[in-house]
Amino acid sequence: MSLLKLEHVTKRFGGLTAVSDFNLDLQEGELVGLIGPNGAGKTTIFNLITNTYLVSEGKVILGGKDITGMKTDRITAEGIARTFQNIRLFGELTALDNVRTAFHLRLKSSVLSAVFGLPGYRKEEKEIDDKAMLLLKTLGLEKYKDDLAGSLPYGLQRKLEISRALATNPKVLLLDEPAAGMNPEETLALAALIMRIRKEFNLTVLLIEHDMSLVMSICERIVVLDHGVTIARGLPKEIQNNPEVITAYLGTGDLYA
Amino acid sequence: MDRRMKLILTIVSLLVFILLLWLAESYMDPFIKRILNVAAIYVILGVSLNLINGFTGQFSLGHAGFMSLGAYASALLYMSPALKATNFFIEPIIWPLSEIQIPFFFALLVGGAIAAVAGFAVGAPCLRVGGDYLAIVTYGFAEIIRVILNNLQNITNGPLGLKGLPTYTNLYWSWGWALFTIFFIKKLVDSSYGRALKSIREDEVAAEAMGVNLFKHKTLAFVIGAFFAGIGGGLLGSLLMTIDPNSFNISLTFQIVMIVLLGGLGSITGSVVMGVSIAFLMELLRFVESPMTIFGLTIPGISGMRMLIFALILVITVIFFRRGLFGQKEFSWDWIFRSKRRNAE
Amino acid sequence: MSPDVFLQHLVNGISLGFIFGLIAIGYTLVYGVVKLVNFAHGDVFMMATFFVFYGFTLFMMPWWLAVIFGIVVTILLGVGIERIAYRPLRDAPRISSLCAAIGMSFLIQNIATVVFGGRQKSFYVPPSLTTTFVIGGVRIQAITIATIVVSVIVLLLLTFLIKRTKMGLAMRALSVDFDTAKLMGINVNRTIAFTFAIGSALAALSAILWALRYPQIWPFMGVFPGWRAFTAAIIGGIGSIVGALFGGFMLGMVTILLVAFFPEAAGYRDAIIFVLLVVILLVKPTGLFGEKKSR
Ligand SMILES: Nc1ncnc2c1ncn2[C@@H]1O[C@H](COP(=O)(O)OP(=O)(O)O)[C@@H](O)[C@H]1O
Ligand SMILES: [Mg+2]
Repeated sequence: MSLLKLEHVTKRFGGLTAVSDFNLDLQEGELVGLIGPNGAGKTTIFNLITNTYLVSEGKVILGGKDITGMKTDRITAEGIARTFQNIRLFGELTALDNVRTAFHLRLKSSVLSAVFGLPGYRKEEKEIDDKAMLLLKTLGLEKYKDDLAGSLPYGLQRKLEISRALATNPKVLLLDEPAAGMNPEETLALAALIMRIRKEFNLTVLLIEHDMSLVMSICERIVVLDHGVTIARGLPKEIQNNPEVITAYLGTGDLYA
Repeated sequence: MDRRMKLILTIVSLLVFILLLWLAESYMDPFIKRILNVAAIYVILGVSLNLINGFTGQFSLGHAGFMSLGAYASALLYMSPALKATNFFIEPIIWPLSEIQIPFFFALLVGGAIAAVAGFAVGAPCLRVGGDYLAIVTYGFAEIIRVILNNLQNITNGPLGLKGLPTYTNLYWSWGWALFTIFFIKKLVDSSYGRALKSIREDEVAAEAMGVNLFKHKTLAFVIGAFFAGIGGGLLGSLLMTIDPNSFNISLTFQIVMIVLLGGLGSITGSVVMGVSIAFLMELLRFVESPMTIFGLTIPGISGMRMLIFALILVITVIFFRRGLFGQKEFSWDWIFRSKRRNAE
Repeated sequence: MSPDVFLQHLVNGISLGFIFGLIAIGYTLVYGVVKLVNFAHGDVFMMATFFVFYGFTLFMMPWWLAVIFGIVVTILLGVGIERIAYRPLRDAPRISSLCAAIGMSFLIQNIATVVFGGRQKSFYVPPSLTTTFVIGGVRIQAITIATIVVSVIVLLLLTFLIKRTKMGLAMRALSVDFDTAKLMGINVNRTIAFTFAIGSALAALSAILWALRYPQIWPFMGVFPGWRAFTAAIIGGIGSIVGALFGGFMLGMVTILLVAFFPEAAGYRDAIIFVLLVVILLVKPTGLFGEKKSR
């Protein structure tokens, strides 16, 4: 069943068309890779899905519901979560608090009930605590729960961002270059992690990644973008041998880097 | 240390504090009592401004404006009809204000509520826009309130102000409200709502992407801050016994901003410590404005010297000690006992 | 109201509008380049009048020299503020520079109070500027005309400076994309100092024109003109020079026409300007001439 659908999505920044006529149909449970050289418009597509940028043209549809132009926090509540290419954790909050913050959108208790610690709120807070700890454990971060997010090593920050995104209870997870800055072993572990959480949390994943070994090994389908234009789509094997894709990457040397 | 132990410690220190308040209220001389009252009011103002500026990362300069709203609204409600009649001798006060009199406590609450409503009206448009607009608009707002108070002769008595207000404010009222403010805001910032507020301060884009409704939460912080500013204004009005449109001017806002910055943006402890310190410093530094004799040389008192010293401290703090006295750290029993143990080793 | 009187108010409004416009451009230039609301701008404005005042009374300069002296010292003050308070915080969180700006405003006001005293002082107005002309039944003061002439000349110079000189190009580059401009080798410190110099010169000029019109000066005199000018900058769209000028005109007109037509509401003029500001923020937050945020 189609879960996330982008129809003729276009984004212009002044004279620059960063994304033009982009189409995507993510099936439930799929893991799709979005690749392309730097500046191709990949991150922009994430920003368009979450309405961090306003689409110039086109539609974004989640589970049959048109979410184009919906406020970013509502879209998250509808079930789309993301990570950021240049990590955006809440640096001065602890790892645990980063994750707990992402549970806030499902909180039912009122402000006053929170301030005065009424039983309803205490119960919800306890649930948040338990779930947040569970998430940290799942990603192997429980040791660092009281550390400030900004002080964690780079790799752990990436993981923490993923667990924070998971805390919003998403249907679709958007990962923006999660392996950036990781060595081959770490990348391998990350691949395993993505496969694991995908099964455990019933996720549909859209993955932006530069590391071709990662993309080729775990993605079921791949879409290739260059200068905002979709130049190829298909199975990893097809993409690998697509001459257009190779040309797009040739100038940059990214493909086999 | 376990939770029960901490609870006992908290209750015991609260009881001791109440005992001290009782002693102070009964035996201290009026001058010191007055400073202690002002200290409590500064704590209310500092902690509530810190909620907006320190925990939510927005920048409001409207505290004086909200205070004057609270002070006027509550005074007009707790003054007796006879007192109002003598005050409004140029133009009589409009009905039904001329007839109404309600108890101090409820008058304060209404004052706070009116400040909160004004906070919403002023904050909502800027908070939607974001950026530095809040600072400049609230700065203007505080000045505009003065203009309006000056002109609404039959409601505020214009430039004459309100005189001979009954002094309800005492140490129980002022410190009672101060403790409540600390309790309320501490509980708020430690709750799930507080985490949402802090996430906005840390990174708006990420906060929104994690489902935090930016507008709702910024407005929430702003309205709560304005409410407590209104309460603080009401308490201060009754303490000063006289209010006029110039009682709550921009330099009062500066003092409160200073309490927050010196104490540390995002530290309630810092605002409490600095609120009390500034109240006392304001009195101690009075000497620099009075004539003095050094080595037989008489220097005439220079008015405004006190505020100049404060302004210098503020600028130096902002440039060189950006995190203030406490940064984002808070007092806790663990912290006290941990440092003790470290000393014992 | 007769057409003559109306014309007279109109000319008055235009001249006041120019003054607000000049102050507003000072805000907008600085905001454009460093993205900082320079809270101390209104206080720099105030200091300028005192520099001229003391140049004239204390140092016994001829009036024209006192004016030049005032402008030069004000420029030094503006550049000094940037150097001391803003530059060290350029890479700090935005809220820190905002605090520094607020602190500087507070500091300057209090220094002025201590050094100059809190009482109002009379600003010298050369007699030639108080003469009144009657042109076709419209009575116009020389200062009104002088204000308009000076403003137009200054605006032409400013346009030339920004459009045609290397410094102007550097300023525009920084305001479009700070980081890229920096990478392309623009001397950031010098350009920013220059921007503050221009902003302060504009503040000094408008302050002198202001004081010739309302010849009472005191340490808090910058608060309201400063705030109105900032409002003008926002209404016009912060970062846009044309917008700042237009916003200044709008406020000048509102102020003068309100006093002329609804004298009983004159006391509320700043409240009305405030409401105008809030309405603009609600309907068109980027101002009338501001660029749409490409989101
Ligand atoms: N906010 C913005 N304003 C203007 N241009 C932008 C903005 N965001 C991205 N772009 C431009 O859009 C293009 C695509 O950028 P991006 O989506 O970040 O590329 P990628 O993630 O594929 O490396 C780039 O040319 C970039 O400069
Ligand atoms: Mg990218």
